[in-house]
Amino acid sequence: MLRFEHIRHLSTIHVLERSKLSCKLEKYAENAVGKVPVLIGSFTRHFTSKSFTNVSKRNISKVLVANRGEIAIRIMRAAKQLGLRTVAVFSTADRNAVHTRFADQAVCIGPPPSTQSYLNIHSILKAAKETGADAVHPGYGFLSEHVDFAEALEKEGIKFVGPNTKAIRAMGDKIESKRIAKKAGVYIIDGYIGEINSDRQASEVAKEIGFPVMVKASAGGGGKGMRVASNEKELIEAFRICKSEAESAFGDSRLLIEKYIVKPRHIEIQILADEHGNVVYFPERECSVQRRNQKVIEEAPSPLLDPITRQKMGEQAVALAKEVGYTSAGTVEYLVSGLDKSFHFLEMNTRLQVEHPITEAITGIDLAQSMFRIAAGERLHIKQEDISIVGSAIECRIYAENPYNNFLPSVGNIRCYKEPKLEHLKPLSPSLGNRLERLEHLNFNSHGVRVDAGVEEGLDIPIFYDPLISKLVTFGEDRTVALHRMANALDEYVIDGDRLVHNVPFCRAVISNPKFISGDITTNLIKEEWPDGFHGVSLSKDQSYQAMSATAMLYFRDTGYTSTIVKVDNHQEQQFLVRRVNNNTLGFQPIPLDWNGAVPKNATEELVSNSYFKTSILGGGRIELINIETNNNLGVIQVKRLGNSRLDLVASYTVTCFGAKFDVCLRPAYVAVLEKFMKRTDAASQSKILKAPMPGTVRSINVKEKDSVSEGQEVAVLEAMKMQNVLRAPSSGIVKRVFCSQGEILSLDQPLVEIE
Amino acid sequence: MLRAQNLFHNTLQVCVDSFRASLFTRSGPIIRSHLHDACFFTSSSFFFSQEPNIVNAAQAEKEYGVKLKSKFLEKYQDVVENTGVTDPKLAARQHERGKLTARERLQVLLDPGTFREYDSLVTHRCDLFGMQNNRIPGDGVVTGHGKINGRDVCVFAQDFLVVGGTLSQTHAQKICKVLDRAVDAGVPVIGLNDSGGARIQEGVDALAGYAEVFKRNVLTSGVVPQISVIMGPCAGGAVYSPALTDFVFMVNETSHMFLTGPDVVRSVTQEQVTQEELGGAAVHTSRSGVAHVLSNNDIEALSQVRTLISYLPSSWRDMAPTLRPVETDPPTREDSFLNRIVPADPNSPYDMHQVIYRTVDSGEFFEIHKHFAPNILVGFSRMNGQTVGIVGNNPASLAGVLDINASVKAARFVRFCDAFSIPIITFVDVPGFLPGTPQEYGGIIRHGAKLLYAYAEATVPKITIITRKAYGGAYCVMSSKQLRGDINYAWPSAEVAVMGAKGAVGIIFRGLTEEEKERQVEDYEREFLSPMVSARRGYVDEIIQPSTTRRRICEDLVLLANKDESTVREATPQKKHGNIPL
Repeated sequence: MLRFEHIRHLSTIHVLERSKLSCKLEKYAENAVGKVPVLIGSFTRHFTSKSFTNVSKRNISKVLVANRGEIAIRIMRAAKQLGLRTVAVFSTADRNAVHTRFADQAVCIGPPPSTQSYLNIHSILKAAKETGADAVHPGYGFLSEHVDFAEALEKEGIKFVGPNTKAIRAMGDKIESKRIAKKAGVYIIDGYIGEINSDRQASEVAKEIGFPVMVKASAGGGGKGMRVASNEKELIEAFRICKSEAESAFGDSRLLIEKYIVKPRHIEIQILADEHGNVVYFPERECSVQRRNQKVIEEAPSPLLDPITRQKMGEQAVALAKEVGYTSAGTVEYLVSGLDKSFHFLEMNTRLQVEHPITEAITGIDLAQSMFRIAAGERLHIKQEDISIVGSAIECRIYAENPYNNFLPSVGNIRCYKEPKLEHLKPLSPSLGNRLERLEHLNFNSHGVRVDAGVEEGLDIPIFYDPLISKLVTFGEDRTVALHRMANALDEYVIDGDRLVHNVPFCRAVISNPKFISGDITTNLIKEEWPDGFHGVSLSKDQSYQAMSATAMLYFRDTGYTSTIVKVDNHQEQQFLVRRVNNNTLGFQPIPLDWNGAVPKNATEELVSNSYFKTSILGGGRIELINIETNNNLGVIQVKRLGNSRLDLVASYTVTCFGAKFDVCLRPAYVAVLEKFMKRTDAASQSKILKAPMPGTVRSINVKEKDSVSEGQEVAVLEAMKMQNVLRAPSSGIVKRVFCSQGEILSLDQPLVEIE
Repeated sequence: MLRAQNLFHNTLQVCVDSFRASLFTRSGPIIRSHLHDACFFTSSSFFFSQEPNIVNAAQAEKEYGVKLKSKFLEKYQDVVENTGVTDPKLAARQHERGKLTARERLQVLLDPGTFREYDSLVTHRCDLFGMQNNRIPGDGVVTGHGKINGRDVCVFAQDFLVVGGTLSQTHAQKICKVLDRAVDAGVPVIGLNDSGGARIQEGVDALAGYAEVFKRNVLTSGVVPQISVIMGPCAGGAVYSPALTDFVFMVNETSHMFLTGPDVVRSVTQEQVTQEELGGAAVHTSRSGVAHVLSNNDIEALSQVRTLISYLPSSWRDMAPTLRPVETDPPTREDSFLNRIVPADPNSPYDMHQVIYRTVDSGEFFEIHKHFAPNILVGFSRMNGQTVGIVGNNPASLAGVLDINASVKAARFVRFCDAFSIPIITFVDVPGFLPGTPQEYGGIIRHGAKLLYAYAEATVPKITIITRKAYGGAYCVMSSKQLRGDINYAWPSAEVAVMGAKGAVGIIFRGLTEEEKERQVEDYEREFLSPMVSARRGYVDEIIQPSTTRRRICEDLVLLANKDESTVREATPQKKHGNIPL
C-alpha cells in the first residue's frame, strides 16, 4: 500500500541512487518527513493532505512490468521510487538485458519471438501469479492496448496499470472512437460519410464542408486515387481521375470526400484521469517529424500553438475522456493545420506514450508514477491550474537503423556505448527554482539531458523487437537552448558496434535543419527536405577544419609529429596540410592541397584559433571524445582509431561530428607524396554474391538456378524485425547458385544467391 | 639481471618522447627526432655536392698552373654522381607495378634524415657473360642503419632496378655486414626483399653468398629481432633467409614466395597454378603460415613494421621500450563489459579479441598471424605501458580448439617472447585438441608437443587467465600452473576438467541407463565444471571478477618485473640445449 512507510523507503533509495542529492535529503529530514516528497514533484501537497490514506483503496506492493528495453526500466524506476517491488519478464533473447537485472525479480516467459514471449498472455499471467505481483504495467506496444490481456488480469484479481477495458475497447476501434469523439464535441475531420456517386453530389458535399477537400478512394492507400481540390472546377476533374484510378488500382471505384488539412501537423494532448472522474490535460507534444509514419523527433510545447488553442484542444481531450469514462494516462492525437491552427481528432492512444518524457520535462510531473497512483485508486492529486509550462523539451528516438538506406533496421553488438553528459556546456539555469529538483527527480542531469536507455556495452540488439536503442531528451530554458543542447548531446552520444548503424546522424541533421529550427514544419518535413533519401550531412568549411584539426591533434600527441597531411574520404577525396602552430595553445593551419597533393600557389593558411583540446578514451580504447572550442563555440568530436596502434605512421580514423561521419587518413608529407604510386584496392571488384544485409527469415526466394536476372530485379524477400525487405540483384546475369530456401533463418552476411 | 622499473617518469606533455629509456638501451635515452617535417635523405651524391662544378677546369688548370679540381672527383665524378640516385625512368617502372624503389622504401621506414648508408660504392667482381659492362655501385642492395621512433635499427633493401635485385657474392657480403653490425650493436635488423634470386652469371659464388646470409640469420636468431618484408619476388633458395627471421611481412599482390615457380611445378607435377595461387601474400599469411603480416601496399607494410618495432626490445639483453599509456586509460581501469562477455550457454561463441581489446592499453593489439589458424590469437600489446605477448584461444573460430597450425603458431610466438624477455599473458578457452585422422596423421601429437615445450621452457613472467573451458591435455598445454605459470587466474565462468560432463560420465558409468547417467552428469558438472576444484587445490591462484582482469595483470606485471630468470634457469639441469620436438 502506498503509505508513508513507502515514502521513507523511497528516500533511502534516493540516497543510494543519487548521492548528489543526499545532502539535500538530510536537510529535509531534519525538518519533517512530509517534506521529503518535494523530490517527487507535485505530490507534496497530496501527501501532506489528509485525504491520502482514505482514498487509497487498493493494495499494490509488487508490480510486474510486461515489457522490455528502456520503457521497462523507466517504469521500474518509477515503481522503485514509490517503494514498490518490481518483477521483470524476459524472453530467452533478453537473458542479459538491462531490464532483467534492473528488477528485483525476473521471470523468463518464453523464446525470442514476441508472439511466444512478450505477447504471450498466458505466460505473463503465470509469471505474475508465481511472483505474487498485484499489478501489471504493460508499458507501450506489446500488450499495452490489448483488451483480452487487461480482462485476463482483472479475472485473476491483478490490477492492470492502465485504462479500464471499456475505454481501451472504445478507443481501439477507429470508427467507434470517432463517433464517441463527435458526441463529446471534439472536432473531427469534416467529411461525407458514405459514397459519392456523381459530380453534382460531389460538389454539393464539398460546398458543405468547404474547400479545399480531399477526394480519395474508399479502398485506397499508398497515395493512389487521392487528389486535393481547392475549387469546384478542380473537384470535378479530381473526381473523374480518382474514379478511374481507383477502378484500375483497386477494382473498386467508390470515393470519399473529406476536408483537406493544409500544412498538416501531428500534435497530441496528454491526459490523466483517475477513477473518481477527475481528468486533467497537459500541454501538447508536437510529433510532426515522422518517417514511414513513425515518430522520430518530438518536442513540447509545439512552436505552433497559442494558449487559447492549447486550452481548446485540452478541454476537448478532457471531454472525450469523460465521455468514455477514461482512467489512467492517455493521449489524444490531433491533426492540426499549420495554416489556421484548426485541429481535428485522429485517435486516442490508451497507453503511456514513448514520448512522455518531454511532457514530464516541461511540467515537472512524473507521469509513470501518476499511473501507479491512479491504479492504486487514489484521487488525482493535481488540479488543472497546477499544470504550467516551464521551458522546452525535445526528444530524439535513437534507433538501430540505417538512415542512409531507407531506415532499414540494423542489428549488432554494442561495442562502445556512452551517454552524453553535456558537461562542456552551461548547466541548467538556477532561475528554474524548484523545477530543477523536479527535473533531477525525472532523471535529468544538471545539464538538462535525460537518456532513457535499455542497452549497455556488450549487449546485442536483438532482431526480434523494435530496434529502439534509447530516447534522448534535452530540456532547455527555451526552445533555442533545448535545440542547442540536443545538437551537442547528439554529437557527444557514442554508440558503436562492428556493423551497428544508428540514426544519430539523421537526428543531428534534422535538429540543425533551418526549417525545423524555424518551427514551421509539417508531417511531410522529411519527405520534403530529403526527397532522395538521407545521404549524410555535408559540413561547413569551419566544421570540417575543426574536425580535421582535432584529429590531427591526436596524431601529434601520439606520434610526436608536428605536421601531417590529412586525407578526408568524404564524398570526394580532399587533402590538407595541417601544422601544429605551437605547443601550448593549440592552433591548426589546414591548407587545402590540390589533387596532386601539392600546395596550390595561391593557398592561404587559415588558423583555426583558440581550440582547446581535451580527450577521454572509451571502452575498448579505440574511441576518443575530443572537446574543442573554436571562436567560443564548444563542440564535441568523436574519433575512432582504425589501426592497430597509436604509433602507426599512416593512421586512419573514423571521425563523427555534427552529424557527419567520414574516414580520415593522416601521414607525414614525405609519405603522402609516395602514396600516389600505391595500388588502390578497388571497390569495383564487388562480389556478385547477394548476402543477407541483416539477420532474418527468408520469406520468399523468387529465382531459381539458371534463371537470368537483370540488375535491380527482386530476388528474395527477407523478413527481419517485423519488416519485409526486398533484396534485389546487384547486377545482371544468370543465377549460378541459390544458397538458401524459404523459411530459413539467415545470419548477417550469409549468402543468398550467387549471380554469374 | 637488473631491470629498470621507472614506469611513468614522463610528464604529461602532449608531445614528448613517449618511450622510456631502459637501462640497457644502447642508444641511451631515446630522443625523438623533430626533423620529421624536413625530408633529408642522404646519399653519396649529396655528400659530394659541396664541390663546385667547374666547367673549364682542364683549360684553366693548364693556363694558370693551379690544381682546381679534386683529384678524386676528377676520376670518379660520374660514379659519385650516380651513386645513391635512382634513375627516374627506372623508378617509373617500379611505380607502375605499384611498388616503391628501395630508397623510397627506406624513406618511409625510417625517421626522416636518420638513414646512414654504407657500401654504396661496392660493385660486383664478375667478368663473365657481359657482366663486366654492368657494374652499378651498390650492386642491387642498399644497406645501412637508421632510426625508427628514435631507436636504432639496421636495414638492407634489395633494389629490383639494379640487375633485378639479384644476389651476387658482393651483394651477399653487404647483407652479411649489416647482420654482423646489428649483432655487434644489439639493434634489430630489417630486410626489405625484392630480388630476382641468385645472380646466375656468378654461379656458385652467389649460392655461397646465400649460405653465408643463412648462417648469419641463424646465428643472429635470438640475439636481435630480425624482420623480413617481402616486397617483390622471393624465389628458390632465397626464401630461406626470410624463413629464418622472426617475422615476415608480405605485400598483397606484389610479393611472392616459393621454392619452385609455377613453370617447374607444371613440368614436374602437371599442376596448373599461378604465382599468386602458389606463393602470394594471401596464401602465405592464411594457409601456409610462412608470413605473419599481410599488408595492402608498400607504405602500409612499412608503417606496420615501424609499429611492430615499437613493441620489441633492441636485443635479447634489453627490455622492450615502454610507451606511456594515455592518461584516460589508467592501469586501474575496470571494465564491466568483461563480466558479460562469456555467454551463459557454454556452447555459444564469443570473440576473444574483445577480451584482449578491453584488457590491454587503449585497445592496441598488434596481431601476428591474423589470418592463419584464427582459432588461436597471438600478438603484442602493452599493459601499463610495458610490452606483453598475448596468446588467446578464440572460441569464435573452431570453438577455440587446438590443432596443428594453432599449436605451431603459438609455440613459435611463445619462444620469441621468451627469447626477448617479453612477459606472456595467456587467455584460455580451449575445449581440447581437434580430433580426426587429418590431425592425427598430420602429427598433432608432435606439433602440440611444441606448444607444451615452449610454455614449459619459457622463463619470462607468465600470467594465465582461464575465461571458460580448459579441458584435458589442452589445459596442461595452455600455460598451466604446472608448466611454471607464475600467476594463474580463473574467471567464475571457468570450467577446468578432463573433458565435458557428458563424455566423462559416459566413460565412468558405462552400464547405466540414460536417466541415471543424467543424474551423474549433473553431479559431474557440479563437481568439476567450475574453477572451484582447481582453486581449492591451488592450481589456479584466485578466481577473479572479469572486470578486474586488467588491474590484476598490471599489478602482477609490476610484481613480476624483478622475477629473476637466472634462478629459474638454474633450476633446469645443465645441458647444451634442449631438443624441442620439431
